Amino acid sequence: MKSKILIVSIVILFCITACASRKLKPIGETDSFQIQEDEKRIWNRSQEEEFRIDQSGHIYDNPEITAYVNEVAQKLIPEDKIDFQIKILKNPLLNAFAYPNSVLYIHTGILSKMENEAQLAALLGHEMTHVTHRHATQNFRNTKNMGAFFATFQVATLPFGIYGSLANILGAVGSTAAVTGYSQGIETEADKEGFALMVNAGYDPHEAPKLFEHLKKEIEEQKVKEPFFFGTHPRLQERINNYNNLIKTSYADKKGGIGRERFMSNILPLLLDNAYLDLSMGRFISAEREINRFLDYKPENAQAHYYLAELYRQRAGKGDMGKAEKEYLLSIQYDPTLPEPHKRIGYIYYKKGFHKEAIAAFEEYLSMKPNSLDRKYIEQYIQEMKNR
Amino acid sequence: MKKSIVWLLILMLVLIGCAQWKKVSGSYTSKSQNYSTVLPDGWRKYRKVHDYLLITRDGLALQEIRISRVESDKPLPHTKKTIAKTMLPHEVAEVVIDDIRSDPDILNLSINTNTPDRVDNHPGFRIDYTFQTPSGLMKKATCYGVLIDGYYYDIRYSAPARHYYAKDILTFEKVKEAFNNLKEPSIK
Repeated sequence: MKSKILIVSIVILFCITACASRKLKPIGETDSFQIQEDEKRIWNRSQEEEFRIDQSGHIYDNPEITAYVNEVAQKLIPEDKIDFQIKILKNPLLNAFAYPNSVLYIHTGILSKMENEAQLAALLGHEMTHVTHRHATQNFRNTKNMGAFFATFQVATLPFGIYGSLANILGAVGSTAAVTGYSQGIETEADKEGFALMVNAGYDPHEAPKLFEHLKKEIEEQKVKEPFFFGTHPRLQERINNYNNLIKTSYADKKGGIGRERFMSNILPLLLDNAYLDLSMGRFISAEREINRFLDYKPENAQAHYYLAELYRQRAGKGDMGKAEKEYLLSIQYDPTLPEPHKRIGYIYYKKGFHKEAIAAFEEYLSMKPNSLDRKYIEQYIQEMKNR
Repeated sequence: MKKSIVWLLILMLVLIGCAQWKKVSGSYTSKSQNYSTVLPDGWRKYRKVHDYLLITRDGLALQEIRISRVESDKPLPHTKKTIAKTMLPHEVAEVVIDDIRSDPDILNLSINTNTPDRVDNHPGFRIDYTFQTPSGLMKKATCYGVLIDGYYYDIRYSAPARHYYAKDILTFEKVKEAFNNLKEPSIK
């Protein structure tokens, strides 16, 4: 009997030890962080992938907005604890991902869907937890075929053109983080611990599920399956369920700040920039929403009115050409030095047969942009109208 | 016996490879796409594609000429935007540029020229652009486009920017000059 108890105890002890050795201690939990050998390999690979991303032309070059996002991250985890680096990618698809060496990437697409700083904190908290809890290394250790882990794999991104092709630059580490995601257990841990970061920093926990509700609504409206993790319906639903459950069980009475005005005043230019990207993809619903949100804050912005006009022109729905004309004229009214609206209104007048007005608009455009690529087209139209 | 099986397999592979290409030269007519042109001597046509004409002399990595056709209001390969029957040449060019820009195999795109031109005496356009392939090769391309009777015709040449583009650009221009739309009724 005694020997049976001893054997069982040894087996239980062995299991506990084995499990403990698979589970890595989060960074920051002990004073001394010791990087493990296999972790070094993953960090080295991460650096290679980050270099490719940084050289790819996808980085969104706005130091103020990048600094703001990093500032919010430091409210969750101060930089003297772990020095996170958040970079923004100019890409309208819904995505954010973290490399294990504390470098995070967030798409302009997902930032433009947020309403306030609390929602940004929710997303950052989730991603930062992947780093602190060493999920990439855990995932690597759980992978059966170690050799295949570092093999690059192709993601079906064709419908998304150049924006989807980012997935093929990412490499194995980034693709797991950005595309497939980790196991449900790991993602749930990221929700739970990231949520705690957000709440401890003073943000309203009720904003977390709201963010993912917006994203879910967005992909439902577009009726397209996006290639990245935060653009897939089941993964978004998982986040919503987890956050609602966490609020119910642990944070029901917790209140906190939202930071709407601070967020909007910092992010505003990004809204317009991402609207342009959405427009180039033909995602008119998203683009229109973003432009109108921008115009709520800056109603006399000529560029925004120009983008809205372009949206109507390209959508070409019933009544859109009339709306486009109106917005081009508004754009000219608010800033007559912007060249493109003059050209576009010139084309409208040309097609309507208003030759005098068309010639005037075209000549105004050419005087502002003498080296424009489309100069020869416009000169041809002007000559044609003058000859009539 | 084993040696002869191996040689037979090698021969089969070579034959299969060769069967993908057909030598072309002189007058060429596509009844399905309603055009004719004159193809240069010593070039080969890729037989495995039927939606468009694809020819090369030294291999697709070194040069290619492609002639394709898309019906108006139907999608182009990469962009969601479509070409409407009533579009002016510069508008068609914009959609084509958007399609090029949306191609995931085209990185670091630079549009060098976008000018009106005539194709088969119809008002069209010419676009010159450079880009990088996913493997890092810099390529240069010239695209002539024209909308005729509700169909958009695309006549395109691309080659590595260094040395190869200049080698066959005049050959391509001759193919484009010889391009002729066979008369067909307009789309209703």
